[in-house]
Amino acid sequence: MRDNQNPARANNHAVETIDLSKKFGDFTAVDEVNITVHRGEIFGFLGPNGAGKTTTMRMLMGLLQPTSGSATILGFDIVTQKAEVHQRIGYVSQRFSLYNDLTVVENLNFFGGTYGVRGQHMEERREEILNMAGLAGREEELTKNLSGGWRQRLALGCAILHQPELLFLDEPTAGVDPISRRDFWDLLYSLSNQGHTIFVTTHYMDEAEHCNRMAFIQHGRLVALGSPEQIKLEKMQGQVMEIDCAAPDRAMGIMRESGLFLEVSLYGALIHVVAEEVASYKPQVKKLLNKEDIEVRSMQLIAPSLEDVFIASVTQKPGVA
Amino acid sequence: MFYRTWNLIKKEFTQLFRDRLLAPLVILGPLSELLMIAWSSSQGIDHLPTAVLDLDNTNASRGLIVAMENTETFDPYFVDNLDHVTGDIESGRALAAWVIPRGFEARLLAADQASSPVQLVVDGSDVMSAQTAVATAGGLVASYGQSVAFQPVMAGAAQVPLDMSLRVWFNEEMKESNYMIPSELGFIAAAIVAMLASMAIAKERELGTLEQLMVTPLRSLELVIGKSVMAVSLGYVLYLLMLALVVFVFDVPMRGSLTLLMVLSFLYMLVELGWGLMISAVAKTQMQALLITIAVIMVTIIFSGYAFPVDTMPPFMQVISNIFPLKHWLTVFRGILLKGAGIQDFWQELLAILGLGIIIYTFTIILLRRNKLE
Amino acid sequence: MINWRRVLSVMRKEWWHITRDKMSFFLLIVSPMLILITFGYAFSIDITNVGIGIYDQDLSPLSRRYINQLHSTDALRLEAFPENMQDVDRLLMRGDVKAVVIIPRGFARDLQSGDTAAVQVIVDGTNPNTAGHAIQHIGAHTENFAAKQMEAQLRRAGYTASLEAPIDLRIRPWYNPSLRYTVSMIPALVGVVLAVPAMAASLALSREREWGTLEGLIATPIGRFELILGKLIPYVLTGMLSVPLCVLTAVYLYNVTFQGSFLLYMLLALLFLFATMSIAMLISVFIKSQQAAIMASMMIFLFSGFFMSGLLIPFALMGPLLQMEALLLPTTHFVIISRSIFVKGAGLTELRGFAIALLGIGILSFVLTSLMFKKKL
Repeated sequence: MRDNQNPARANNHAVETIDLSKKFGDFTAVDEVNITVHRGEIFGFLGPNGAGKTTTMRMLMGLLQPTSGSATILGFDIVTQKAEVHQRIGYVSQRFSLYNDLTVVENLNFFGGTYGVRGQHMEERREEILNMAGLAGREEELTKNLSGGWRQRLALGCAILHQPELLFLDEPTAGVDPISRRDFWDLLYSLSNQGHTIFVTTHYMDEAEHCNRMAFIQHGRLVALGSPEQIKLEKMQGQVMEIDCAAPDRAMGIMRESGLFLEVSLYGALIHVVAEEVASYKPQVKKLLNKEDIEVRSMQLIAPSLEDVFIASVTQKPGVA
Repeated sequence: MFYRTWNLIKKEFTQLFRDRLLAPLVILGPLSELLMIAWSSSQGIDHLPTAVLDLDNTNASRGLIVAMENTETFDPYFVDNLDHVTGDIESGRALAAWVIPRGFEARLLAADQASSPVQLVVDGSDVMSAQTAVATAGGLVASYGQSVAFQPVMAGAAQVPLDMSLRVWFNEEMKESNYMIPSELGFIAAAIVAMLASMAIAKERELGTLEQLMVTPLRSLELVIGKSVMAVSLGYVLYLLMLALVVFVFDVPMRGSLTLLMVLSFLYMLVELGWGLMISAVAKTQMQALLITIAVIMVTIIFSGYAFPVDTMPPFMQVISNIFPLKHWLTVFRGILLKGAGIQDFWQELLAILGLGIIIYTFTIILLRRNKLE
Repeated sequence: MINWRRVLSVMRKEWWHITRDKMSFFLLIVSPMLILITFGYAFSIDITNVGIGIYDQDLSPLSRRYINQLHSTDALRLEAFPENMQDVDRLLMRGDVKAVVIIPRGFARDLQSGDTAAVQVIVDGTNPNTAGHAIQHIGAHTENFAAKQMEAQLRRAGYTASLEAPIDLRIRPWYNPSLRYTVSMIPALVGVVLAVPAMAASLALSREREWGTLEGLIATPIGRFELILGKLIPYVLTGMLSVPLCVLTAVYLYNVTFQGSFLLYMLLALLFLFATMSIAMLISVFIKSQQAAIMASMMIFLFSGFFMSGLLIPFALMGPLLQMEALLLPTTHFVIISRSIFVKGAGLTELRGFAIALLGIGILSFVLTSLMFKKKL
């Protein structure tokens, strides 16, 4: 359902916001956010809980009225052209919002029908989606009897019946086991390959690595914008060294007190320390830890992960990309 | 678009029938209440167990007791002393008691003007029975007294100069049920529709599915219509069932035009639906919707003449009562049912209902728009 | 056997659910009082000022004296003076008046000649209460008028007997000397209006089922007795908060004196609420959706509570089958308890049986609920 005739769409952006803001009384939830999402890409929207991700998304979808600023979705204004926007987007919410007392196929039929998908077209799409979601053969099952992972797939299926150009997903993998998460992202990749633009919020840093481009948001303000590589390059001060040692908690404390590093954090049982020319500190680390009878098993330079970047940029002064 | 609305309606009915208990309960609940009302309003307060202490034991006293039994209000049994009288009333074994003192007959037949006393004890904690006993006793005592006392005097002396003949129009048997039941019918159908509608949208909000609906092309008007169709269908089916029950089983007369009644009641239901939708626009959960609806229903009951007539209220309340569509509808409904009235008799009430409906729906739309956009 | 700490955690969660939505919580506590005011008002209204019309065909001084007689109290209100039968028809059809008195031509002549004069009353039977009131008062005035005429006649014939009531009926109310409806009805209604928190309680399990959170609860180590108990208690507490409000309404708004012990009242109210909420939980186990649960609990607590509990129709007058059903309903017992404490100042000894009945119903329902719970997932 691609619309190539609308003259209003001069730009080629799926999403474009201009100083988008939302205030609730005195509290500023979203503060002059400027992002662009290109067609066909997977765009990740990251931030801790309460950062303003969901609020921004809800504004974009027309569920909330912006306090100031503007935005367009596929060239259509989110405030004045809601109907056009709604016809072209799909939404998978964080909280499961399909009908538990309907069967799988009844949910599909209902949501498809709401988007105007019916008849022969509906049957074809339904087949495709059941196969894609792995729910073929389970059409008559009541939705409430499906387990978490399958429900998410059904929700995704209902959102794409009408082949929307832009798909919004709000924390779609929250609470889902890692294997299902990986499968889910495989699904998203194939959707992206088919031409859908995907806008996904998440607080899982490792998922952000899967995105083409992404934005960090904290306290309602944009902290970084770009592709993962770009951000790592721009935002990363210093290099990251990974230390594998015994008694990591104690070791971390010692590293912190030493004042040598910009940042010291724990990753599972490993310690990441950040500094310029960080490798040069290896001897000192060994000395400090051995003094406390802590065995050092290995120390190596690693490529920064987004989590490292995020922690670093958050401890910097907040700025806009 | 029509298809979207139809799609929603299909879903609503699918959900309704999948919940195997809801539809039957919605029908059964009000029907059972109707049955209870019918039973209780036809259940006369009579055959009250009555303790009788006859200290006189004369023809006159025995005649009084016979007259008492004939009223069917009292079911007399005898006791020996005053303690039994008070004891039985206290324990609830007797709902009334008569104490006829010694000298009852003598004083009655005496030529002087003094009257002959008789005591009726009633249980003040059960005023229904008490009042019935008092009312019956009054009439009983008056007529019995006159028949005994004035016989010698009145033999052939004078005639009763004034004869009052009574004709009852509408509800000739003066059955309480003929008044209570139509009241109930008019009210219940509307209340059920309002309640179902108010919880319908609130349920989607509570379960989180409303948000999903709001990012689809579904318009608010389509949502409202889709939800309403379900509420009104159930309500109207219930209404027809109750009407049939009322007319064929309870013998409430149906004097007016049935078509007129069915059309007008449908229109009235739509007006009350507006109330339900208005609440639905505001309520966040089903329980909240329910509580608000109950509060509104209570206020409506006070003011609308449902439980007791508007004429008996103080004037300022009578003015306020005109805000409630139910008040006007009750006049129309009872009129058609019991009096065989036609449009020419209650067109003012119809206009009032229509006008109120327009106001309610305007408010609903305003509230819905405001609430969907925060 | 029952781990109270777990019960407490369930209680805390349920309490949070109840109070989180401030508007709902407020309505929950206040609605019973509101319903009490409504129904109480219905029972306290006396019928007065009933409108009637007079169609005087005689237009004589005597007929006018008769009309003036009718006019003299505020039980009746002379609304209209129709001048033909179409007028009468229209008045009654519209309901502008509830009765029309027709004084025929020749009224005065018949009276004065000693023949029987006739007066016709057409009454609108739609509302038997107002109709009865109209009939009673018109009849009383007419009789009075007739009595005075007859006295005059008897005096002319030489008799001096007066037509005062020959039997003096002395009413002795046992409690409630003024025989006010409110005194009897309002205490009884307290049991019925507490149906509102009961309806909320019946949503307790259904709501979790609709939200999909019920399975989560079952997966925890909380035992079923603990779960049901933990859900039960907050609703009992909610009801307890309403009880003083209702008592205050009864005493201060409706002037019903409270004769007995308030402490005892609250204690027995607690038992009543325990029984009621247990039954509500039982409903919640069997009924899957909230809307359906509300309908069911309305049927049991509101409708049956009002009509079948001995509130309206005295218990002694119900058939044996209905009496048995009524005894299973906690409302029936509490109606008696409430009336007894309010009106008679009854103590625990007299009410012992009812207290035990309530406890029994409560325990039975609670056990049943807990046992049936797991199976009906």
